[in-house]
Amino acid sequence: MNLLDILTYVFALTAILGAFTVVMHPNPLYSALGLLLNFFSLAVLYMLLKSPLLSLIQIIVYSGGIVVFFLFVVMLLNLRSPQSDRDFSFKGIFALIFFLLLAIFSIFGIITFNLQPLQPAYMSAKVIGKYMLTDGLFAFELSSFVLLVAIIAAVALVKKEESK
Amino acid sequence: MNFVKDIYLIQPELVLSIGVLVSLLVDIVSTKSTKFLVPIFSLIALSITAFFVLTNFYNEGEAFKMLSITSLSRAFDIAILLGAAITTLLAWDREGEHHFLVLSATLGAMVLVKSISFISFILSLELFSFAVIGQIALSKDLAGTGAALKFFILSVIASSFIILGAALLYGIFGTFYFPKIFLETSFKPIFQAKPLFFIISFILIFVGLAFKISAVPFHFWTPDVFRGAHSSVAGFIATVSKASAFGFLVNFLYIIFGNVPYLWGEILIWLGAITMLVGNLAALGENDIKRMLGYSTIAHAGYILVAFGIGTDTSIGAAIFYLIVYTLMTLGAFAVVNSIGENNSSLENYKGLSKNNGIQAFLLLIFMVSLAGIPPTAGFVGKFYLFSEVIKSGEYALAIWAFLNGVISAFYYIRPVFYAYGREPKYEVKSALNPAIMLAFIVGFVGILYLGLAPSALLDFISSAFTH
Repeated sequence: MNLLDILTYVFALTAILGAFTVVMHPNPLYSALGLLLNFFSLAVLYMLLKSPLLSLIQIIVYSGGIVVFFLFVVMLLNLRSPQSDRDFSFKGIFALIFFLLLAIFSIFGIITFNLQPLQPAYMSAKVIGKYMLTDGLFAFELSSFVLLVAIIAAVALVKKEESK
Repeated sequence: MNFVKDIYLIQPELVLSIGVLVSLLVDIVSTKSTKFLVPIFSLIALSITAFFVLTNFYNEGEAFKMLSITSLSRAFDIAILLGAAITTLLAWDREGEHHFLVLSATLGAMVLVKSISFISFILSLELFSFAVIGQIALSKDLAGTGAALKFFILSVIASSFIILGAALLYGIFGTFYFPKIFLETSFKPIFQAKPLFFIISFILIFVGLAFKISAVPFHFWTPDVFRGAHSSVAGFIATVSKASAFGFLVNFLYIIFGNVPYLWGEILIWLGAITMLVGNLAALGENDIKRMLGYSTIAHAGYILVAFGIGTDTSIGAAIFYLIVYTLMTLGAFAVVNSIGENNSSLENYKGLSKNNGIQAFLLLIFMVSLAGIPPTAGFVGKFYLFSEVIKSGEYALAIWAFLNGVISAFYYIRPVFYAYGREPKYEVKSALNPAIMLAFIVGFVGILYLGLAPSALLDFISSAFTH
């Protein structure tokens, strides 16, 4: 086990920790910070997989943009008072059982399958850009439609009712 | 890099995507008095797309390593475009953005049925879902917003299941491309000997798709969303969403899981059998026609799922025929709901409908009779072919079960008709009959009677998709 492996495990663990914080923490502010931890750990994992561009995009777009927006919303709505309505519920138990089964089966599946470790290829900006304009062209254009629809729908929703 | 052939293959999608963009411009240019230009343009775009679909019906191939264009997927396109055109008629008076969203959702659905890569699959699914959420939320009352929120959260959950399943498959095979997964499973017996991973990813992705086709036990959102949404949007979810999800199911089942049919054949048949029973039983006690139609779509999803579980070419052909018929009759029923009034969807308002609104009452009779599967309507022919496929495959118990379900469904389909003709009017219902609704009525009425009396033309056309 070399240094890279240790780093991978450490940041995989912090990613899971961050995700748990998002779901479990009663204070939404800390949940947003947990999301930040998760995104940052993922960025490091991308770096370890030899994709520096993806890693930087992860930090700039997700950590820099989206988490900051979440924090703004939390501050604006003033959601700081912790809510403690976590009662015993069968739905929660079912979700927990489902999650545990999924996790156990996945781990069991990985062990029986004897998966080979990922062979990372160096993903530079050049490689990604070339992929987007050649093999991934169709997906690239399709995602532009997804964004357009999201924008138009959002604008149409907040548009004021015209007087009829 | 040679995209010429790929672009040649996806002509209909390109035409529709140009239509999506131009419809935005038409919306901006049109003023309040020329608002009708947007739906007219939308219909023109859909018709041109349908023309390209029909002229390219037998052009098959693979485009961009993400789409597999087959005659079968083009047959699903016809159901999708038909549904989109009729819903455009139902939503004639709504905002221009609505028609833009209908067109873009149709584009997403058309790409979805041809996806053979998880990238295009997830992107087109998101395109479709976003556009539908926008359509629901555009009716800015409390019910519409609530329905939009409910649909949004469930779509996100469904998508996250699908993405997790796709990630697991990527972890095994290192590719998003379905045919490559098929090859890997063909040559490595380990995938057949130890299918655990396969089962997990199948379940995850199928759960996501079951949300879309509202199969039991993932059906709870359907009646609530249908109740809150505008009837055109409810009809759109009931028909186009189902057609696209079933179209993708063909690629999903026969390519990725084509080597392990024993995994899913029985599951689909059982799921379909339970789905039809739950949908029919729940619809029996419903006093709101929109919610009733919601449960009825669940039941119809069950019939189609059974045909997919049998999995022969002819049974898939019968399923496509049924989808087209189902599109006509469900949207016809929603057109009646639309003309009676969005807020008058309680069955109390349908009492004595024949006295004041004779046309709507008569059409309600036709569409409900067709939904119940009584001759001489198309609903009977569709059910007949579907059930005869079930009998041909040797599943006699299943055929009896499906037939019994058809009998149950007759009770709740006939109830509104009975109210309309046999009861005295309780409330004064002011109905709206604009030319667009009339056109929708005519398309539904003529289509149902034509397909009911002379189904062979469409059936031959659909079976030519398999045999040409």
